Amino acid sequence: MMSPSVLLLLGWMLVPLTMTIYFSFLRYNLLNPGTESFTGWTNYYYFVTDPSFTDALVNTISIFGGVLFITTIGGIAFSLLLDQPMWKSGLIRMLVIAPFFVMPTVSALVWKNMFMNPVNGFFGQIASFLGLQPFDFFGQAPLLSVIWIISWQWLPFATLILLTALQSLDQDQLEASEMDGANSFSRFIFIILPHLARPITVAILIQTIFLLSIFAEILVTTNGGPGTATTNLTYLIYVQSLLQFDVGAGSAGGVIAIILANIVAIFLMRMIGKNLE
Amino acid sequence: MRAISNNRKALNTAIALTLGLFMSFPIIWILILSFKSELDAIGNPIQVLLSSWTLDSFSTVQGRSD
Repeated sequence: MMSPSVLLLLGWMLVPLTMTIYFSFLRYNLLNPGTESFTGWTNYYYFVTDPSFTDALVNTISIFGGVLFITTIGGIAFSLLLDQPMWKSGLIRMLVIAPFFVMPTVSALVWKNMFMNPVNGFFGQIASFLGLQPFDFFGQAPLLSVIWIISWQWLPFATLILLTALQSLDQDQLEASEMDGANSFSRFIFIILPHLARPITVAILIQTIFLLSIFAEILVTTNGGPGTATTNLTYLIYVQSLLQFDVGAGSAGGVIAIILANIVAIFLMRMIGKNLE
Repeated sequence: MRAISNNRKALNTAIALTLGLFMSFPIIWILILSFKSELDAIGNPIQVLLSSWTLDSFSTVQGRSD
């Protein structure tokens, strides 16, 4: 029962979780040290009635849904393309998969300063070279820019998983269907897509874990702004606990985030979990 | 395995290579910019490619670590 691994697991998961739940019921402000006292549900009430909470919720779901949509559709297309016979396929695969190995902070900084900056950035320079008005990405479309950066990072991941799955597809099936007169579209719908159902599920579930907790890209590029346009739940918790020094409200936000993540997980497992059986 | 014509292979390679360069372009671009001086790096893309190559940025970063 109390083997070392169980102790490790307790220390790693249960202690932080319990302390978060404990802190969420305390009046715990870093500006007033030594005044911690039990306040009941005040922190939860404060966090949920915060005007940025609804925005944060919508933004979290938007980032999650948008990136999942782009990476799944794009991943299927990319992996189908990379699975075709070609020369130098190793080099080309490495080029496509390279963005996944760039750290989130670095890739967000690169996109922000070298591509999306309206004055110095690559797109801004091209726009002014062509005589167009440079587009201020983080001012005009902050959420879409963040979704774009995250999608750029996660598209290679979906491509990688789906490509390995495509390589395990039996070529005899495809040839047999071709002899029976199936065109490439019906081959895709009836053979390739059912074969990919399980890897797509795996890719979506793994990405869910990471997309619900996106933080670095937002902190580095927009700081949650302008206003609350790119504030997601993770970032709101950071603002509450570390910028406004209210650890109690931040912990309450953390507990709410855990509950919401579980709701999302239940819905996802209901929708696509049957593929894993 | 079916025989695949070289034309088909060349077309696949061209499309996939374009896609690969498109995806990894930011990485390639910062690699190029790292060999340019700070002033050249923020010019327009054609000037960036034509400007002189230098290792200054690397020695600056190395100098900061001391």
